[in-house]
Amino acid sequence: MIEYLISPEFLLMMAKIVGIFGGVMGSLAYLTWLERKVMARVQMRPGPTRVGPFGLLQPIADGLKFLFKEDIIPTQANKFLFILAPIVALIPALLSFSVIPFGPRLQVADLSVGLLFIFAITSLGVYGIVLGGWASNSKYPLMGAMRSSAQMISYELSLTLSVVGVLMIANTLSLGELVTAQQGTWFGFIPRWNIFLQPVAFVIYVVSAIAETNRLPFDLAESEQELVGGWHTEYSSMKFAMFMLAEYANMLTVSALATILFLGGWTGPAFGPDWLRMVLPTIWFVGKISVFIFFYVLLRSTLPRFRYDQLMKFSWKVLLPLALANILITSLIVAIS
Amino acid sequence: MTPVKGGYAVDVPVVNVSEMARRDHATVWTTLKGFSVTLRHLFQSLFNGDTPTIHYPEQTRQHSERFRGTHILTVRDDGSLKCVACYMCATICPAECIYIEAAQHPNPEIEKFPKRFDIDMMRCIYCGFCVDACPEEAIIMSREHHQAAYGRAETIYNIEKLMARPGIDAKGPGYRPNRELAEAKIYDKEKQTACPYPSVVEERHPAVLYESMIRKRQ
Repeated sequence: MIEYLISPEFLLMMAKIVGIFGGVMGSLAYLTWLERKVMARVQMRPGPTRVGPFGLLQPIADGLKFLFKEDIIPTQANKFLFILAPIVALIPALLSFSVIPFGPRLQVADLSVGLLFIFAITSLGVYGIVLGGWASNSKYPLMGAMRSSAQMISYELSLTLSVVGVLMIANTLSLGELVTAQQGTWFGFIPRWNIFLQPVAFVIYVVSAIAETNRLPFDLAESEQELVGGWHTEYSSMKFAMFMLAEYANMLTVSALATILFLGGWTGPAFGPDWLRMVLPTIWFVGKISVFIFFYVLLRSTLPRFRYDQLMKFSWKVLLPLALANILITSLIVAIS
Repeated sequence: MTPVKGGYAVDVPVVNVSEMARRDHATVWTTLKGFSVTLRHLFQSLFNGDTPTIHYPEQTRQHSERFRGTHILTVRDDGSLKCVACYMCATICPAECIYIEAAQHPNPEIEKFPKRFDIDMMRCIYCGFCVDACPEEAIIMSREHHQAAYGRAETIYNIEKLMARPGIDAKGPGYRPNRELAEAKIYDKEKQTACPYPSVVEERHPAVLYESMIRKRQ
């Protein structure tokens, strides 16, 4: 046992975990800054400017504020579940990063069922929201939680179905193998990314992913104009921050998954000296994720919120049939060739 | 719909809302159009600096030269108050916020001077009547309007506060009854260039920055 604990494999694994966890937590904090800054610029405001240059220390100030704020638990709330909910929301959101390949070797665990693992884990996140909404014992959180659960269940279907086409082409569930299958190019210049084989699936995936993470224009669970703050109305202090972190972590997860499934993950041109070749795949990966994140933020500042019935109609009458048709056509082509 | 002649509402376009809703129905095309709008604004404000924000403590809004802010009591060349304690301002004041206590001036030609001259800034409605009423140009208004205080007592400005307050020098005088007369009387015309109160505002009004957007939208 002790021998294993000091073995290089174990230490390497720990270094990877600490590195990925630290990197993810840091980027989550700075996602809030990015979102505030981009949204502000779109709305012709300067955004945070007070804390540090360009407001770059704002996430740290926010974190400190969250730590020192009073932690309020409503008297009528179910105390146990009220405390449990943010934990249930945040931990699965962070767990999914354990199977995401940030680079050729920068992956905590390359499970053979990595994709299934992520879908299983992220769908647990909805329990955090539902429990939080129910345990608050207050009407707005309950309504937010109900909406959120209905929405997430509906969109999880099309999300998962949109991925099936890619899986049929790649023939694997391991995220590492999914990426390596997309290495190389067609005709020397088009990268072998799945987006060119599965454009419809890509669109369905992106739309469902936005709905899955409860972001505008699908943020009916939160919809501050109708439901005050949705399921986290009664939450304050660090518990609220945990819900926030979970939301941003989910955003990062779905962006990373979209990159791995459709945009070739960490693949990309490698050049230069050895150390650059080591770092470049991670830079490509982070760059592709950043594009998605930027798109998310821009989408939030562009589109108004859907009405609830529109949301449901869109999921069941548009996305789901499209995803099924996509599977049908893909399987036909795969069977023929 | 009859257009109102002579008013503002001539040739108002009639918008058929249902038709508009059908035309602007949420499609991929309209979403992309929305993206182009937000992206344009993003890059405009990022690279052109096209934002109407005034970064408050560092930048402040440039007020009009006729802005009616905190009062200033003007002084003669020897540094004594111009005020002759005639009570005209206190009499005309609709808010009754001016309190004057007169005393005898050593110079028999001037007769009186104010021993006390208090303005209750909380009561003042900044109408500028006191400035109009003053026969001596002894009271004018400044562009200064920062009057935050920790208590009501501090908002009653006495002679010292009305004569010299930090910030007034930087912003210049505001409302004066007859500008040319006032300038000629208060400052020597030859010394105008060296005058600490600039009479012409060179800086653009911050709201003007926003015009670039407004014009593009039309």
